[in-house]
Amino acid sequence: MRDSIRFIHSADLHIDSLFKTKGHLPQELLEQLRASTFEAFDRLIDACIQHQVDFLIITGDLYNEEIRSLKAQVHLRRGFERLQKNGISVYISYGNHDFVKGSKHPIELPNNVHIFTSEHVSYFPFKKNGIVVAHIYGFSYETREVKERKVASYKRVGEAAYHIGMLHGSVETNTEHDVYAPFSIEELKNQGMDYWALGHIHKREVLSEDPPIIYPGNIQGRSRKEAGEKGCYLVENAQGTWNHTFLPLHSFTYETAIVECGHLNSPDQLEKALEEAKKRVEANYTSTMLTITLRTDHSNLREWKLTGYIDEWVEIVNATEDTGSNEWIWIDDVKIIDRPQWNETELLKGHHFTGELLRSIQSLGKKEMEDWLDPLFTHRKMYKYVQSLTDVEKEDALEEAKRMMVEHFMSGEKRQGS
Amino acid sequence: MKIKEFKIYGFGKWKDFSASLSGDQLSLVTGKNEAGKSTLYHFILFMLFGLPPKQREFYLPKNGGPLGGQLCLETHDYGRVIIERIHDRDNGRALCRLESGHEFGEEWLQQLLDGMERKGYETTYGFNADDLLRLQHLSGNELGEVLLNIGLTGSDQIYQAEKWLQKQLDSKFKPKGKKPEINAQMEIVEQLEQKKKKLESEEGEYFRLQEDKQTKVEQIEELEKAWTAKTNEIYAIEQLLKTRPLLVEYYQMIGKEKEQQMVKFPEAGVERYYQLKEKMLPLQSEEQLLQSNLKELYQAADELKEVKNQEVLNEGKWLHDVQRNEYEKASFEYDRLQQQFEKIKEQLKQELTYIDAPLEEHELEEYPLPFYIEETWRDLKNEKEELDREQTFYKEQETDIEREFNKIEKRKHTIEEKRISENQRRELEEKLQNTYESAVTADEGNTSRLKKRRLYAISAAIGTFVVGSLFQTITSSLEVFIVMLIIGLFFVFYSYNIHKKIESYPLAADQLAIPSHEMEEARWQLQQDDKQMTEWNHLHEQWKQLNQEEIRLQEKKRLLFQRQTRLEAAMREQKNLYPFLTSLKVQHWEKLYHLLVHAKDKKLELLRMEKESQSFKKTMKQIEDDLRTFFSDRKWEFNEDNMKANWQHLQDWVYEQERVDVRINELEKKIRTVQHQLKENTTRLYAYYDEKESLFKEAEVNSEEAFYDRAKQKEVQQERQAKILDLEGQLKGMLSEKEQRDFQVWEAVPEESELLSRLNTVKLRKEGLEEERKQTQQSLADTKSEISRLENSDERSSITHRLQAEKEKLQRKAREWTIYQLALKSLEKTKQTYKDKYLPQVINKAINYIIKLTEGKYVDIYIHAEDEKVRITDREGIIYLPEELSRGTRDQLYVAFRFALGETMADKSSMPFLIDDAFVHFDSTRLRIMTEIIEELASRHQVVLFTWKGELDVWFQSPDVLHL
Repeated sequence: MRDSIRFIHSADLHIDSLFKTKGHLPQELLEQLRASTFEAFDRLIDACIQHQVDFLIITGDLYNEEIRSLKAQVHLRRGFERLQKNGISVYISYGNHDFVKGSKHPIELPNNVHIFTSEHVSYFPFKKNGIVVAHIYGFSYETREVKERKVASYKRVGEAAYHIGMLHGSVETNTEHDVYAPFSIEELKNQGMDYWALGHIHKREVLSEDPPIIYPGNIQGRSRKEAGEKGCYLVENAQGTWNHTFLPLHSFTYETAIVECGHLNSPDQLEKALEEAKKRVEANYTSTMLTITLRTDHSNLREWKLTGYIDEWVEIVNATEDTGSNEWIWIDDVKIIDRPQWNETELLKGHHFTGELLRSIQSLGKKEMEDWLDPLFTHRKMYKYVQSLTDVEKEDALEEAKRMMVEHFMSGEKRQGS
Repeated sequence: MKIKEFKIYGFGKWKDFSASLSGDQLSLVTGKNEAGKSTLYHFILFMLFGLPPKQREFYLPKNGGPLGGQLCLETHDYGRVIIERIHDRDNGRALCRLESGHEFGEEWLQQLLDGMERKGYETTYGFNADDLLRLQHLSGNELGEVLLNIGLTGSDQIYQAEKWLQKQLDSKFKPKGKKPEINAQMEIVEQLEQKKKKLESEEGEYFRLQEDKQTKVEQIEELEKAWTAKTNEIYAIEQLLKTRPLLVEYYQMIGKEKEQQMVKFPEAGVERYYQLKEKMLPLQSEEQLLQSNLKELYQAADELKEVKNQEVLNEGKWLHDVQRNEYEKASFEYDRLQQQFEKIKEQLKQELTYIDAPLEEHELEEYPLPFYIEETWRDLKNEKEELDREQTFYKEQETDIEREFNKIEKRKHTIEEKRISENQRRELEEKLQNTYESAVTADEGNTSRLKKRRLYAISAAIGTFVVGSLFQTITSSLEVFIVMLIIGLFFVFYSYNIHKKIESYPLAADQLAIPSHEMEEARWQLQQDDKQMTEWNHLHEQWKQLNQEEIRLQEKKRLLFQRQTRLEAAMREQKNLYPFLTSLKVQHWEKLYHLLVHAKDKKLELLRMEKESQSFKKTMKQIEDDLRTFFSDRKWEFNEDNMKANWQHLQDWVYEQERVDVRINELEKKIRTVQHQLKENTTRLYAYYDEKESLFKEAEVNSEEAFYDRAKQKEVQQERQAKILDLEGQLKGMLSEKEQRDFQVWEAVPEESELLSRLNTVKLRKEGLEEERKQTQQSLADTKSEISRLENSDERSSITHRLQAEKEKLQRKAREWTIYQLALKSLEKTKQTYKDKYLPQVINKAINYIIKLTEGKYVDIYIHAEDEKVRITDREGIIYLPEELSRGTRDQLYVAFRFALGETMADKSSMPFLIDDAFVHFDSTRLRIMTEIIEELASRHQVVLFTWKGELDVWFQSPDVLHL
């Protein structure tokens, strides 16, 4: 009969991480966002103490970037010191975002914290009442990238009731993320570990139940792409059965909502649509950064967007939120899905100027486009702060430019307006 | 494409109104103002291109009814097409019906219209008064460009769009600006970035601060140490000041001590000296006593020595001890020898008598008797005896031989008588011979033949047995073996028979001798004769031997004689040498020899004895002489006869003398004892003297007085040294070792003033250290608070996040700029393409129109290569910029361009021209020209002219007039 064991498995803390926001945020909210990763970490520590776990595992990416802010480091240290007072050990490996050699000035962590500092897999024994209960295996990223397969290096060593592997990497077939320390689930299963504490992928996922192979995800969403609840897993083995429970830690979540707007005739009706979107996420009872997609067959939304109606309404709706409270819903971005009121295929055929314009845009070369954009993007000062657009972004911009021009030439209003 | 009919269900003021248009000549729609010409114009456009809902609402019939209508078109490809639009049907989208009955939607219509949309159509094929009006508002500078744009699109849209876009772009970003949004945003970002960098370096500072903190902590520790050291030093100096008087005293003592040399005095010298003296006193008195004793003894000994003459005594003693003995021994020996001599002489005499040979005693010495003589004599005796014996033996032999001879002669003679004669013998032999020869020849052949056959038979038998047994072993054939056995047996039997025959043969031979008794007789006679003859021969042999023996004997006898002769000679020789032998037979010689030898030994013994006794006699004589001399020297009476008395006298004297000697010896022994005692005493005394000397030497004095004096000096010095030690001890107790070392107290007395000044300096330094420590502690506190501030600082995080937000804002703005920039640039590019494509045609056509419109006043239009502005040339060749022209001419120029463009476009896709009161302000002349132009245009394309001038129809040749 093995000793029971209880621990919390987390990863990808990304403490003091920056947030991708679309609109302009009030200072108050910006502060909340900024505090969120710290708060989530504090909740992680609280959870460890509350659940009286044996130890805490953090599989990589504790910090957001290789330059670890002092605040983040001190904050972690204080958190770990709290665990030390409660007799809870911490096992840390570093990942691609906080690789060992990237840290210029690491501050000292209390000695209940065991850090894998080498890129070679090693292990720490975990002792409970003087008896070695678990061997915890892992490695840290010494440099930004670890491309080789590491699983084979995880070898059960010695006598311990539990063998737990910490691995910061991704399934080899994953194409959404940079593939680091690739592995296959089968490969993991074959290593004889009792539990695989994975990290790196921010979306939580249980890859296998037996043995448990788990990505806990990150503890706080940082952009629209990291939607939904974020947290850690409380893992327990009693009577030989593994139980894992998700514990949310986030301060707020990112959510998206789509609203059909085909029936809208006037910009005044936008408020209702936005409120409707907010209602959908209210049920989550948590602060939310909301991205709303308005969908229509008409061109009016685009017009309203261009004329600033939408932004105005978003501002008005956001203004009603009490961002100082614990539960707010902030409309971060409004996207529009519509279809143009003109037929591009037909226009392209015409001998008129618009047809010629569309043809010009269609035949526009990359180099030419870049030349056009150079004044800003290669500006001696700007280039430092403005990121070059990706091809997709450029395409998007060109599409918008095209729509703007075609609509301009098709409606006389602009002319009238000028 | 031509418009044939239209039917209005309701549009603005029009309701249920329909009309048809001629497609082949100019259609003239006339009516007063507010008659609805413009509405009709818009209705046609609405039918062709549709309208957004809001705009449609504008045309909703005032007095109710549906908004919509139909437009019937004559097309090249599809024949008649009816387009219908109803406001509240399918959002005002078009429904196209073909003659074939097919129905199509909006897209199809667009295709029919060559993808042209309302705006483009209006600017290309539509004209209205407003166009010319707007021309008026343009500044001279813009005019040329606008005209060019009109030449391209029939309107200034491009120009306006460009202008608008540029404005937008300028408001967003200028490479060198500060105010545009992006520039301003970048400023914000830059400032934040710098701030962030500063904060980051501050965090770098954090680790420096940590080191700094450590350094300061160490510094404070150092300062504490230094402070403690100084405090100790102050204490030390103060302590030194306290102890200084002692130190001064100490150095005074040391000074004195140095002045005086080290007084050399043995340890506890005085006591030791006293002890020494006590020990010496009894020894000295004893010495004196012994000295006097010795003197007395010497005196006594001297007296005795005068009495005693050692040499004489020695001589007397020698005579008494040695010579007397010698003498007595010699005298004794002499007597003994005399007696012995007599005895031996007697014996010798007897022996000579016994020998009884003519030999005297003294002669004994003369004859040498070497050992070989005995042998010679014995040999002679033996030889004599042997020769005698041999002579006897030979005589006997001679007689024996003689007798033997006689015997043999006799026997021989007997045999000769018994023998047969030679002839008889020969006869007998011949007889026998003949008989033998016949018998032998017969027998011998038979027998040998039989023997041969017997051999063969045996051989055959053996062979058969061998072959048989071979067969048996090889073939195991019993039959053959048995046959062989039988054959073998047969051979055995045969051979046995032969053998028997051979056996029986001699018997057969005997039977063959025929004259047997005769033969026997003869044979017996022969045999007897043979025996006789053999015996005789034997005897004869014996006789021969005897004869030889006799000869040998004769020989021996001769030899014996020779030996006898030699013996005689030898005996004679001996007798010559030793004449006494003559009286004796040779047989006794040997014995004589022994007796002689014995006698001679005795003689020699006698001679020796005589000699010995002579020597004793001589010794005695000498001793007697010596003694006599000694006596005479002493003037003692020497009794010549009685040596004994002489010796006695001597003995008495020697004894007496010897007693004196003993006394002297006793005295001397005593003297030696005393001397020894004295010596011992002196030795002991000397040891003490040495000790005393060494004491004096150590104290470097010669006298006892000086010694005591020195003892006193030593005492003073020791007291001083004790004092110094005492002071030293006190000083050591008061000053720590370090202090002693630091102040070098054992080298010199530290100057008081120097100490005081040093005390002051150290005190000041201590205060300085205290101050420094205070400052460092303050600085450490500052560092600590700075570390704590940094650790708790939220600023970097805050700034970084703000920077991120601002950067994103900047990025958004950049993206917006990108859109405008792309729009503007693609517009410019399209314009250029379009210009290259159509402008030459348009210009050519415009030149035609301007010539017509100005009646040849202006003859050419061109686009200036550099500024891309329109230029116009009059018939004089003078070139004008559009703004230099009169308003009328400018309008004409505009019209020329519009018509030129319209026509150019119409060449590609024929569309109806819609002209709405465009020339309302033209004077009659120009209007006439205009109508001519329009009429000409109408001959190629459908033209619908809306005008309020009802009289205009007269200007046209055959207009299709629709009067409203």
